[in-house]
Amino acid sequence: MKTAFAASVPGRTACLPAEPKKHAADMLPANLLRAKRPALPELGELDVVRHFTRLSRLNFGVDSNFYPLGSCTMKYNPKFTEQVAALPGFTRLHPLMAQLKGAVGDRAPVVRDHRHARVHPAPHGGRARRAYRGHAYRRLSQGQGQP
Amino acid sequence: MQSVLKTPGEMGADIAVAEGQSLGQPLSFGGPYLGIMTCTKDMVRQMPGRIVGRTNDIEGRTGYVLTLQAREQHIRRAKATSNICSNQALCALRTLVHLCLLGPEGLVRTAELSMERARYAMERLTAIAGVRPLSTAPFGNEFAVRLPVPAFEAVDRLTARGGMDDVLLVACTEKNSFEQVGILAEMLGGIL
Repeated sequence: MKTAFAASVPGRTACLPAEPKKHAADMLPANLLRAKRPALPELGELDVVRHFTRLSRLNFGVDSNFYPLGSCTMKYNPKFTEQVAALPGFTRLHPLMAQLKGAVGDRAPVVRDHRHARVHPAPHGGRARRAYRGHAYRRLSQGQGQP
Repeated sequence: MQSVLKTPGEMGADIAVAEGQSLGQPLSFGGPYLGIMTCTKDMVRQMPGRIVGRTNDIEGRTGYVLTLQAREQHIRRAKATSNICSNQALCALRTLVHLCLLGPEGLVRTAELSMERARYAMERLTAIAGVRPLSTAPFGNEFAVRLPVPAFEAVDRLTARGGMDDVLLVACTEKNSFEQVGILAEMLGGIL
């Protein structure tokens, strides 16, 4: 199994953003700029797809085999939770939304799954503490900001 | 930004940490995200987590293996001050794919586009009476401005803008049929 660098061809890219009108040299002093570009492989989309698909076939995991060892990530998470976690209503939510007055409030997202009554509680006028995670949760638990 | 800036090592740092969320992780209300930690070689045994090394096997083939296994989790066990978790591997994989898709040119362009927009924002915001840049030092894609009111108050006023309670945003894509649009129009007409 080769690394992605083995397929690297100078000039290839899978996803190129628009050409900026200015370059870093026009916007920052020269003494802050790096001399060489980052040492990343230059791959086309096909190279990337093939590389990771090949890697996935070498993987031994619970999706393809019986896997009796378990750490926290291998315990019993039902498959549907992966779809729920990937809902754009959650993935596109900025962590500071909880602190913006009027931005959440009584129009907070409520997700109902037919197997569970509620995934993200947002009672009118209530405080949806259970739903917060990561940075937003730490700020709330430290008494900063309001849900 | 690191794609255009001198590396922390070149600037004299021994340890560098970075937030990796912008490398392909969705916002997700605060996480899971990806942290990046790096240090000089002489400190590598004190790094938490797993370290992967490259070596050759007895047949000369390249192999990758977890190395420097004297991790504090194995020695201090319950008294360790960090833990190892495989969940980060999912975030790391996502960032890896993101970097492979963009490549060095894509990453440099992303940084430059971000910097362009930040400079435009600095220009437009400091043109407002009472808004001043906090400093004249060079900046990447983030900058601070001093407002004539507390910043939280300004943000509250922006989000409470209102006047949009009676506005309905309609979006159509190639997945909507003309028939469906017709049904929407009929039903809306029926309830208004």
